[in-house]
Amino acid sequence: MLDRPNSYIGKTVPRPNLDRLMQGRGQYVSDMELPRMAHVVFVRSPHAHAKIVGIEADAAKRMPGVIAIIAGKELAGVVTPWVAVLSHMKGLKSAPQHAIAIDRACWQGEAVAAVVATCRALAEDAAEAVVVEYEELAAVTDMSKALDLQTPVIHAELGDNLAFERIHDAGAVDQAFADADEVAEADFIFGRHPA
Amino acid sequence: MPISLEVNGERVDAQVSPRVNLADFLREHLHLTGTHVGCEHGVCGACTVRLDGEIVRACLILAVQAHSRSVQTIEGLSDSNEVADLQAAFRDRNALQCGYCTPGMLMAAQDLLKQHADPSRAQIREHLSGNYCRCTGYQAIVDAVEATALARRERAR
Amino acid sequence: MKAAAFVYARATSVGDALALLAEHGDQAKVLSGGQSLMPAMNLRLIAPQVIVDIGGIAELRGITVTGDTLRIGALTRHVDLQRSPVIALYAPLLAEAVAHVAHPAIRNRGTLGGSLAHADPASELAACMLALGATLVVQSRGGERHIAAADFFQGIFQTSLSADELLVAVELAVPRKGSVYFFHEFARRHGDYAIAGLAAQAIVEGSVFSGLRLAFFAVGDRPVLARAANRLLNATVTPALISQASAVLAEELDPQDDQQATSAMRRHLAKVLLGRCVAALLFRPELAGGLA
Repeated sequence: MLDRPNSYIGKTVPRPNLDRLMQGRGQYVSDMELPRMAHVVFVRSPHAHAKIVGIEADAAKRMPGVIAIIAGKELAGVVTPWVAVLSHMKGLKSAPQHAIAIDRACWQGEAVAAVVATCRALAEDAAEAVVVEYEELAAVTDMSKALDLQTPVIHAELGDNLAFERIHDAGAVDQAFADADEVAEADFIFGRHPA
Repeated sequence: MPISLEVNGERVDAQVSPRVNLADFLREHLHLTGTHVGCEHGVCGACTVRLDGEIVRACLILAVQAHSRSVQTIEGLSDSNEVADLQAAFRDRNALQCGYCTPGMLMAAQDLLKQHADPSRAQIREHLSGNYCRCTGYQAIVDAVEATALARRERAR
Repeated sequence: MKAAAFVYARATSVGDALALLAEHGDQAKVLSGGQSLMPAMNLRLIAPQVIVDIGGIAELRGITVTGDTLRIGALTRHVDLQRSPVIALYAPLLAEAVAHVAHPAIRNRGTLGGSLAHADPASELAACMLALGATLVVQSRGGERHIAAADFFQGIFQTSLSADELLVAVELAVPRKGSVYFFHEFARRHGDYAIAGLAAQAIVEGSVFSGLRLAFFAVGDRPVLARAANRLLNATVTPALISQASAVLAEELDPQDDQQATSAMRRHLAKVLLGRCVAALLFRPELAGGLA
C-alpha cells in the first residue's frame, strides 16, 4: 500500500448507490417515463451500399400511434453531419456522416428513416409498413482489398478508401528479417477491441 | 383482455393487450422497473422474475399468461428482506458495476440457494449461466453467492 | 423488439384447442412453454395471426407408467423431467439430456411437446426420442394418430404435424433389463445450442451390444438415427470395428456449415462422440480412441 495520506489506492471504497440498484430502484434510461414521451424506431438499410431510390411512408404514417416519419433530407435541415476526424491523428479522413442517410446508405444497418410513435410496439408496427426502394451498389467489405485499383471508391470526394495511415519505422527492420534464421508469418483475425 | 394476478403479494387487476409481455407489463403498467429488459428473447437473464415461486424469463411470458398466478420481482424480494444477505454480499464484494444485470442475478442466485445449501462454484456458475454481465467478469458475483451460502449454513447450525 | 399483434385464445381442453386449430389452420401457432415461440415473435421472425395457449390444459400434463408403457404429457416441462422419480427410473436419458437445455429459467417453462413440435435440429429431446424409439401421440378433430419418432422430424423446424394437429403426449417402452444410456454434447458454453451431440440407448449383454440406438443431433437438418450402429451389434467391439462404424457414420451424415462449426468439424465431433459412447457403455476407456 502506498504510504500517502488520504490515498484511495488499496482501500475498499464504499458505493452508496449500490443498494438502490440492487433493490431494482435504479433509474436507467429505459426506466424513464416523461409526460407525452414518444418512442423512435429506425428503418435500416439491409444493403451494405445502395442508392435510396424512394421511401413510401404514407400508409405507415396513417397507422395507430404514429406521430411522424422522418427521412434524411428532412433531418439535414436541423442536424449538421458529423465529420469524424481527430486532431491528434493527422491525415484521418472522414466523409460527412448524416444522422439519417440521405440518398445513399453506406453500411448495412444505416438508418434510412425514423418512425416516431406513442409507444415502441406501434413504432415497430409502422416501421414494417415503410417501403424503401433501393438500388444496390457495389460494396467494399474486405479491408485488405480496399485500396486495390479495381475496388470502387465509396466516397469519391475523398479520393480513395484510405481513412488513415501511420508509418512507424524504427530499428533496422528489414535488416533484422534478412539476418534471421527463420521468418514466420501468420494472419490473425480477431474482433475489434474498443476501450 | 382483463387479467387478475398477484404481484409481490398485492392483487393487481388490469386490462392488457395480448401481445404485451410480462416484463413490459411489470415495468410500464405497474412501474416496477427493477425487472430489466436486455435482449427481449430470453438469453440475457436481466428480466428474470418468479412465477409461482420459480424463476422465469418475463420477456418470454405474455402478461395474459400470468392471469391468476403469483409474480415476485426484485422489488418484492428486497422489501421482504428475502435477499438482504445476498445483496449485502454483492455490495461487500463489488459484485456489480452498472447494476443492470443484478436484479436477475439476485433472482437466479436466490433460486439456487433455495435448492442447494452448499453449491460448488461450478454449480453456482451453472445456475447463473443464463444471466449475462458485461461489467464484472462474474468472479465477484460467484464469490458473493458462495459467501452467502456459507453464511446461511453457519446461521442454520 | 415487441411482438406484432395477434388474437389470443386460451384453450380450456384438448377438444377446444383442436377446434381452434381446425378453424385457424396455419394462421395459428400453439403456445406451450413459449421458450422458442416467444423469442421468434419478439424478434419479429414470425407474426402469427392467432395464438392458441394450451398451457392450462390439465390433461396434457402427467408422467405415468401403464404396463410396459411410459407416457409423458406434452406439457411436461423440462424441469419436471429433471425432478420426476418416474423419469429417473424409466427414462434417465431424458433427465440427463434436459440438464443441457439452456438455463434454469428456460427449463421452468419449456415443454417436451413444445421442443419436439419446434424441431430445432440441435434439440436434445428430439434426439432422445429417436434413441428411445418413442411414439408421438398426435390428435386432431379427425382422431388420433401415433407417429414413430423416426418419421416425425422432417427438417429444420419441420415435422409431420399438420396445422390442425396437436401433439398431446409421447409414449416410450419401459426399458428392458440391461438397458444403458449415454448422452454428451459439445457446446461452447453450458446451455448454448449444441455444436454436435449424441443421445444413445443400448442393451449390453456380456460385453456385446445386442441393441444400440445412436441418435446424433446438431449434425444436419434433423436428428439422425445412425445406421453406423448396426456395425457394432452382436460383435466383439474392437478399434477396427469402431473405425468401420465411423466410416459409415461419416458417409451417412451431411452436417451443415455455420458460424459455430464447419461440416468437417461436425463430422469429426460425431466420430469422437461415437468413440466416447462405445467406450462408456462397454466400460472400455481405451476404445475412445485417444479422443476422450
